[in-house]
Amino acid sequence: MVARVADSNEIEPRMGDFFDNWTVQVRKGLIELCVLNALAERERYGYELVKTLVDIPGLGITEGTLYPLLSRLRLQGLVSTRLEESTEGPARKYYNLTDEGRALRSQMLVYLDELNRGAGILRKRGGNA
Amino acid sequence: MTTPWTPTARRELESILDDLRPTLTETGADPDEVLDDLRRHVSEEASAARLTVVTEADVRRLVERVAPTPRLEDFGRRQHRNTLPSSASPRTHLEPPTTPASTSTSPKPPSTGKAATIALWIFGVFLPAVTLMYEAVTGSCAAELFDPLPTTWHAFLVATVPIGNALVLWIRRTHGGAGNQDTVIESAYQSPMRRSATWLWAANGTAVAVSSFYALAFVPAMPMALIAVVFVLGLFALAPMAAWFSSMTLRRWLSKSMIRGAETRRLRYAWWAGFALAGLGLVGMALPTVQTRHYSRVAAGETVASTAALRWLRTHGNREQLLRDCYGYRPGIWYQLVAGNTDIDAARRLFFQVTGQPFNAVPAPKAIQSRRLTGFLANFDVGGVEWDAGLGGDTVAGLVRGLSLASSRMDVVCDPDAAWSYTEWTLEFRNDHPQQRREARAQIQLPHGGVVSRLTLWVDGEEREAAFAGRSDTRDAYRKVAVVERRDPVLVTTSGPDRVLLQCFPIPPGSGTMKVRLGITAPMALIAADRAVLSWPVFSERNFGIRQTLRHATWVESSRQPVQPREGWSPSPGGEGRTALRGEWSESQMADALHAVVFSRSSSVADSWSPSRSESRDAWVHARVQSAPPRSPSRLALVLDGSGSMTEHFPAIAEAVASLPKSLPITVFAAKDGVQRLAPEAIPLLKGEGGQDDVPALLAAWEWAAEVPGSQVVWIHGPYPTVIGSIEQLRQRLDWRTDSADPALLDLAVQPGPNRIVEALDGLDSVSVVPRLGTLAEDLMRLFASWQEPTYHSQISLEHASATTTVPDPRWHRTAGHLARLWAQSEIRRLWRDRRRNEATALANRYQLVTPASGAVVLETQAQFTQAGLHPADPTTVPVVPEPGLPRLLAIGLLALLLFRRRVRLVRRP
Repeated sequence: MVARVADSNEIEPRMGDFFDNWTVQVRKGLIELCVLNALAERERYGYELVKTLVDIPGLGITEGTLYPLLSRLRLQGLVSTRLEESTEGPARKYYNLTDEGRALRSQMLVYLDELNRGAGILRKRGGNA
Repeated sequence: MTTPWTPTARRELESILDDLRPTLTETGADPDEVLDDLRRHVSEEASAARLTVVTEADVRRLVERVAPTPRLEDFGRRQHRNTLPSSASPRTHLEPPTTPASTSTSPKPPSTGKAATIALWIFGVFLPAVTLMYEAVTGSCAAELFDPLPTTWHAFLVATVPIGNALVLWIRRTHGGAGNQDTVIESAYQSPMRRSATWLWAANGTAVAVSSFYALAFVPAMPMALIAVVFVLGLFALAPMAAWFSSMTLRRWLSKSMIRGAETRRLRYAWWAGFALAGLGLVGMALPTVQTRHYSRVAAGETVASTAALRWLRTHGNREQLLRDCYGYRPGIWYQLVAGNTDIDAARRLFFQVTGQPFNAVPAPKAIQSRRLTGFLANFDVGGVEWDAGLGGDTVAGLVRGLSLASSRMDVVCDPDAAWSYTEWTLEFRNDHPQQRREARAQIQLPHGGVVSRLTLWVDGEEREAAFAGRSDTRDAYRKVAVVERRDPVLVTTSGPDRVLLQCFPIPPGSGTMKVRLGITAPMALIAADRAVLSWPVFSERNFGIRQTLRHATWVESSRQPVQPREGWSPSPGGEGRTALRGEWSESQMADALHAVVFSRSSSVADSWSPSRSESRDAWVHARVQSAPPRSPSRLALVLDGSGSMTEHFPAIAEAVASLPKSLPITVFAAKDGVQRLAPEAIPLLKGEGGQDDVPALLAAWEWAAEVPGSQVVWIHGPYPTVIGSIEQLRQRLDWRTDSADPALLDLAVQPGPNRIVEALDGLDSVSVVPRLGTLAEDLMRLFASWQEPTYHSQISLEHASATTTVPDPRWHRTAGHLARLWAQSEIRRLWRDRRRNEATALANRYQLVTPASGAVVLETQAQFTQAGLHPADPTTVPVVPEPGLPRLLAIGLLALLLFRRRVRLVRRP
């Protein structure tokens, strides 16, 4: 996937626009899953979670994007939060997956696997570029 | 350990977070929660960075990375492409732009097409700029609607509209790339362009404020402007509205392309700062005008507040605005809709009351002078109005643009023994206006007791003499020929005692000239048995400019020697053993009574005579110099004009009054926004202010003086260009004065200038003018001395041959016909007062004099004279300089008659 993205610099400008829009759509669908995955591993506080996700290549998420997303997930009941005092700074806000969040994450992973598998079959038939 | 924050850092963060709140609401998140998260995150970042203290700058830096954007979809694909490195690690390739993070996630700027951009350039930049230049050069709007650029500062502010709009459009183009101008100036927001962005917003704020102001001002003109668009000029009236739309469009564009976070607040502040500064500037400049208008309206009323309003105007009023009203310049469309047009007469009256000066004695409004027709203005130092509303009228009215006095020559001959002088004043007017024909008008103050006895106009290089006839006949002929036929006439009529109105038309445009000559016969004032004073005419009002470099070339010839002529006079050889003096004087020097010349005279010459023009051949005019016994008034009512121009004269008045005997009861009536009764000792403490209404003080003085028979009212004043209140009460008191014991009014002007009160009192025996022969103190002391010592005057009478006298006494001094003219003048005035108008007119015609009963007019052709029923003066009968002896007179007369007949034949020839 990385190699494919690198090739985008070589394609026609018009096609480059298409590719850019496509990556935006792909990332849009993946960000929530990435958050749920990060919290499935263990409970994380906000700053830690942000740093973790920001470091994922190609995800294109920033701190400014993540906090509204976490707020929406909490409002939807997919994550829960708690505050804990810290000796190194302000109180930390820890995020944890709720049961609903875990269930949804499982559904999303199944769906994504199926989607990748189907896409992989098509990719094999079409051959590698 | 928590990193400490500075208070400004805290405030900055909170301000930024406040700005973010609306955006967060759109995302469906809980804004309070997210903002709380962000606070926590920034604190974590600060701790991680190991800052010792968090400053405002740190907050901005940290927030740039943290500030959220509403939707992930708003990742601009182009931004992504622009910031994607061409060769980097795979990880970097996948990263969306992160430096600054906010830029990479900014919403896409509003799309504006190429056509819209062109429209913005046209209507937001070029049209306002062209309109500004057109108005600055032509003053078209100022002439037709109102003056949108009354000061240079207004022009500067208006210029900020096209400049501000151009700046935004230019930076947009420069930083957005040629291919896509929608690429906002985000790069301009980035360092080091942030300061530019601030100015950009400020410039747009200024442009919006200024264009809003002018768009509103022009709203009432919109219908007319839309119609006039077909003539292109309408576009100029639409320019403010077009500029406003353009500025607002650019503002929206700036707003949508604005980056988030800390910049938002700063840039909005910059915009509002520009808007507020421009708004305050416009309001600040309009405020004096608005206040002046308000107080002008109050001052014009008859309420108690009017006096207070007048005082306010004297201290704080906008003089330029008041002067513009005098010339009828429109105050603004809205003002006209609400309050109607300005009353020009009221405005001129108010200008005098506020400034103490006649409106036409000061240069025309500066804003008008500095614009339009700069080519000829270089030759013209007064300015004036484009449209001459006083054309053909009987008032001087305002200064007109382009008209000036090109040359002035004064030739004087005098006979101190017979106490008369004759002045020929040759004036050449020049019109530098490129299109408009002009009428020159001037009120001329004659030497005391003087009369116009000759009027000449040069037509195609030839001299044409005037026809003397009834006043209305000459004026009708002038109006017909001047105003209707637009040919060359010149008219002189009286305009009060010792005053005439000269008007000539048309002076052709494009540096055209018109040359006239005025002959004035006047008595010389006798200040002693062996001293006679020569004085000359001066302008008291005029509608043309006089260059500072112009000099009145003066030549005086006399049969007697001058007594210590003042500096500036040069002796020259005169003809036939006469004495001549030559001098060149500026206008201000001519107006100064100090330039009067004292001549010696033979005290042994008591009687003079000259032939009369009576129907009877055996009549002559006899003048006898005799002394009159002193007649001290029983009371002296001293009326002092409290106008500002009088301040410098009060000490001289006090000095002269101090010379009066202590036994004489004196009361001072000072006109100062009412009447103040003062003791003479208080005169030096007086301070003039504005222009005062002297009539109430004159009435009060007359009432006080009338309590005791034989009282005197002396009125000392500056220029009085307008009648503020009614003078009928005053005229009534003076008119019904039948007993010489009733108070008389003596008028003494401190300087030449209009005097509407004396004009209105013309013809009354009880009103007389104190001649100005020296300084004010000298003239006043001379007047006061005449109440205690004998005075000399020349008594002129007409005598006929009788049984005892058949010829003038051979010992008498024979002099020129001016003596007869002076007799005729006094006789005409007597007949006029006795309402024997026809006799007065006939006598004036016979002696060819301009009097209240008669006027003088020169028309261009004999046919015009015939059509008007007028007869031009026979050139053999007009006075000349020097007044010739009898044999030479006959020779000149014969020659002139031949020339006259030849000219008449030429004129009559088809």
